[in-house]
Amino acid sequence: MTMNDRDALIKLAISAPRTVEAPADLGEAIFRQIRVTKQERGLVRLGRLGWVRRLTPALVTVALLVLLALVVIAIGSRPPQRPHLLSEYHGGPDRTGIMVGPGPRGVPVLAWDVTRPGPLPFTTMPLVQDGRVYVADGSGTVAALDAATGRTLWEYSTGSPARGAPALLRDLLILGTDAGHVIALSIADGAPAWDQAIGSAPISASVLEADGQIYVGNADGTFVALDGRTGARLWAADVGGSVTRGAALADGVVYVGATGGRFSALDATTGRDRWRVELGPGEEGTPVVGPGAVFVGRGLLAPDGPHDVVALDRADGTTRWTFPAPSGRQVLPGALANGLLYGVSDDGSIYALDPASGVLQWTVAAAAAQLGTLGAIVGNVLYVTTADRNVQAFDATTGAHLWTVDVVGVPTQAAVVDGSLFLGTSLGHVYALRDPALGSTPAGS
Amino acid sequence: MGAAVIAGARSSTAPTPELLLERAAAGDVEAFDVLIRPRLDKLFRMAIAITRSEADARDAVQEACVSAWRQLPKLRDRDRFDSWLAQILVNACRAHLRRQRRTNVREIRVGEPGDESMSAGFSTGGHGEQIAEVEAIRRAFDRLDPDVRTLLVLHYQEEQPLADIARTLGAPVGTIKWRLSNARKALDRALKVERR
Repeated sequence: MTMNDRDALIKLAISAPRTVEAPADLGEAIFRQIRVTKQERGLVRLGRLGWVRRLTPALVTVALLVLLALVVIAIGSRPPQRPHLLSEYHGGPDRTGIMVGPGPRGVPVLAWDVTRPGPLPFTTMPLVQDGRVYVADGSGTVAALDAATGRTLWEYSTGSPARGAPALLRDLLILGTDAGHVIALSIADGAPAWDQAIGSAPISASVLEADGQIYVGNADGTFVALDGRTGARLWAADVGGSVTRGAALADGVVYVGATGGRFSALDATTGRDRWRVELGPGEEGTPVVGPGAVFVGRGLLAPDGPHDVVALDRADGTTRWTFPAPSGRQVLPGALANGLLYGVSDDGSIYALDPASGVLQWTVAAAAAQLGTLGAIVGNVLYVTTADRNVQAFDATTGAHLWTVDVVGVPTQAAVVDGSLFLGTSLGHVYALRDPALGSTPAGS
Repeated sequence: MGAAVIAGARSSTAPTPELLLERAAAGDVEAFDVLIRPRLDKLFRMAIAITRSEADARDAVQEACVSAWRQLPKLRDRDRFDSWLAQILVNACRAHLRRQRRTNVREIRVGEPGDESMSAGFSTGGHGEQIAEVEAIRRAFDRLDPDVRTLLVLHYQEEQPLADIARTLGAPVGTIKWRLSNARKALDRALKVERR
């Protein structure tokens, strides 16, 4: 069968034939509704100027106020505030690793380096919003730092270590603790807003926020959805094993892996199983959700487990393909962009795969030791943190190495925003690395 | 198109499509009626191909037409009326299917045995093996994610060029090319499942 024959068959199979007509009463039904529906106005045609927004008195008032505000800002002596930006763990709920950006142009310089009282494990990431950097460390201390200088703005001690990345929900910073609590703090001053105990088992996974709801699991296999404003429990599900990594969410479905190999797709509204599959021994990494498939690294910490990337069909969880690294070491997918799925391996290499087929497109050796978390991509630049204690940048299309910056300790995933990279390390450092054109301040200031 | 419907035959006094759009955008329901009615069958065929259900297609077309009426005054590039309308319809179909999925805890595939809403009026036109193949493709197509179905419908049924699909779905042409290749592969995989 030729390609044309095949295309003709597909067209024949999926098309509604021309004989299909709209129901006779549909037109009337539509126009009955239209007669009582108001049009949305707001645009008027001004001759050659084309279509412009209609100038209502309210709009004129708003425009004048905006103009006034601009004048006040222009004549003010203070430099303009940094833009309002938000970075999220692995780039957002679907964990595709795509950061707000922009990243630094050229090799970044050290803007500041501060030390926190506890370690920041590679499973976490600083969050950046509105000129502030939020970090939670292994001592249980949460802090807000000035993104420009690293100065501590407030601190709060939860009394229990925090190992996963927090989440930001409007004016709240939400995190899980070893004591099994999910805690929400005001981003203004660190004051506790609510505290919800999920159980006595530790929470080491990153918190997932989507549409005002919080999703997180603990070590005894309880996975919960909480109301982000109040902390009230919306539903709880048993996912069959410890939840050690963050979940992902897309189109109303939460994807979460558990120690022992169960991987579940849960309805985000009810917590009920859409489907579940068993992926073998060990833990699963944070999933990455693509258009038709969800990608997950399996067999983590299992000596005999299959150490590969699995692409599961989002509709029913069937395996589309698997990719084992040639070294047989574990691989974690961490970014999906530019038509490629990027994964890092314990063998120190980055693997770029075709997300549709799992076929390797390119690979590059990035470190002698294992790689850290890969979850940062901006435009055509891939940022990777390594256990060789550095952060590196690669051309996302070709894998060409762009630069390396050394840090003290094993780094966390980097938040890439506003021309800067923010990352923590296992030795408690928090770094701001900045576009050289934006200038730097002495380390530790 | 619109002018021919008004007069039965073109005449110098029949309003042009541009004028009809102008009038409809200014709130003239009759002008909008003249614009929309000749397009209803095509819109319905597109919706039924995406949703695989006559009832859903009907709802989606109604929703899209009302939405188009509401937003028409804001449409700047009136030459793009048809692709703009298609975009609204695609969004209505997707929203409809999403709402349906939220209501059902487990996703229910349309077109399963016993689902009488499926594929009414579809004809195969062929013999023996070809008919079986067309039936298999149809069942495989029903298994696909709604977004994948939408893409295939725009490409195969509507025969839209990639640039138009990109505009309709609000994605770059390169992304659409990639998604289309994935959609074909997804269809192949679903076909394999059907043949088991």
